[in-house]
Amino acid sequence: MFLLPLLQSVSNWAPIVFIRDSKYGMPAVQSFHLVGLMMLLATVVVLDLRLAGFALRDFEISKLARQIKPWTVGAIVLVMSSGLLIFLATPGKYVDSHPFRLKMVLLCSALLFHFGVLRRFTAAGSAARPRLVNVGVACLSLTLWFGVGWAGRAIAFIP
Amino acid sequence: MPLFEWCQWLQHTRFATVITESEWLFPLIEGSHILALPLSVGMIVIADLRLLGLAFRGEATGKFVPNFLRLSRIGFPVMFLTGGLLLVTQAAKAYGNPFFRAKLIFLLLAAINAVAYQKLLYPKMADWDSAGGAPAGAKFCAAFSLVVWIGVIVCGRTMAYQF
Amino acid sequence: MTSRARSFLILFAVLLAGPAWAHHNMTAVFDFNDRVTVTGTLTAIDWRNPHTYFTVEAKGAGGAVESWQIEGPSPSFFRVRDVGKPDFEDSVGKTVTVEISRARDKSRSGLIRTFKLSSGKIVSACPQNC
Repeated sequence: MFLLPLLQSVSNWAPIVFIRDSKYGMPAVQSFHLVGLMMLLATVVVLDLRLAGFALRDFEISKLARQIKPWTVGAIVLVMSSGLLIFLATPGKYVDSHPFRLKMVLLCSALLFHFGVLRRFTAAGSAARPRLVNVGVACLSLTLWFGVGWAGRAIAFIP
Repeated sequence: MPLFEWCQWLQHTRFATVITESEWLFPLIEGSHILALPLSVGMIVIADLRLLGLAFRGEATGKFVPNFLRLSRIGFPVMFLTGGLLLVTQAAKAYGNPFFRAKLIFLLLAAINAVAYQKLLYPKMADWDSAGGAPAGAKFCAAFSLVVWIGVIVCGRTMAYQF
Repeated sequence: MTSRARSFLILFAVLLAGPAWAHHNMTAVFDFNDRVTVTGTLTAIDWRNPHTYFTVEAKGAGGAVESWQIEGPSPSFFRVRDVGKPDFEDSVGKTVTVEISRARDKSRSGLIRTFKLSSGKIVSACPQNC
């Protein structure tokens, strides 16, 4: 693929080499990635539990969603920027990884779903919808985002 | 039996070996350990951010914090179970690992902080919003909690690099 | 500065404050351009997660037997490649040929690229580990 030589040359840029080959580099970047994914999934779980009506029923959903949004966005920035660095450090490894490819497909789907579809369901008036629909949307959201997480973990174990 | 020898014995039991050599069980346990973080530490972090006044300022502390502490109870049993199983597979290796030892210390500090908060501050939470916010002690607990939990995560990730 | 930016800075600073000694970062430990082929007797297997370990004893330049410590991917990785622990156990005490990415410290250790079992079957850890 034509992209790979370009990615390989990026992986040889001094800042990327420093991150990859230094003692502190990769564990630090991966720790950012872990904290970012923890906060991203936590905010998603909060919204989905509330949407499904399983928890936080005393909180008005659109107000909860509004307050949570900056933290979801911030977590996405953190997890994706650290993820990009991890990727650029050894692009060949990830490009050839089947779980990684699946992870990227799920990530795109999750982002589109979250900012395109879920948004409508966490707006005011969700209580008017049938409970089953809300539960279904919440389950789909959780499946997509935790799917990203599990696919990411599979990278280390499956070719 | 000295602790280290017990760890060596533990690591070589049939139970530990089955997990260690497994094709799907170990990845399942390890993956669950990481992906239960949002439902445990993630909820604590959200509660801490509220206490510090950094997030969810539109919600009353006395109503918000107990709800999220309660949600964290979903993830912590998973964290401790999976953590215990992972430890069993590498008890002897973890024994001498300075990052694992640091992780245990951070966990202990987190527990002490949580108990202190529960006993001293939790009962008074309902009064804080009318008083203008959480008192300094609660904010200290929240900030301390953030620091030690991040410490747990960083040490947990880095201990793999010490083997 | 917004309170949100402030809190992320706090998290950032805390993360950097923790010491982190990398010992097992693949590219930091192994040189993927330094390829060595080791042919010898497979003497030991450590079939564990997240990485498997093998000991191969090969004749060195002077004729003396040298012990190579070789690291491989997880049991799951091998399973997807249709290989399990029994396949490696069958090769214990027999001749195997392993192509490795040598450790940067030039010690007698490396990361598996390909592993030829005594049966002749070749298992590849590439391209993900190469």
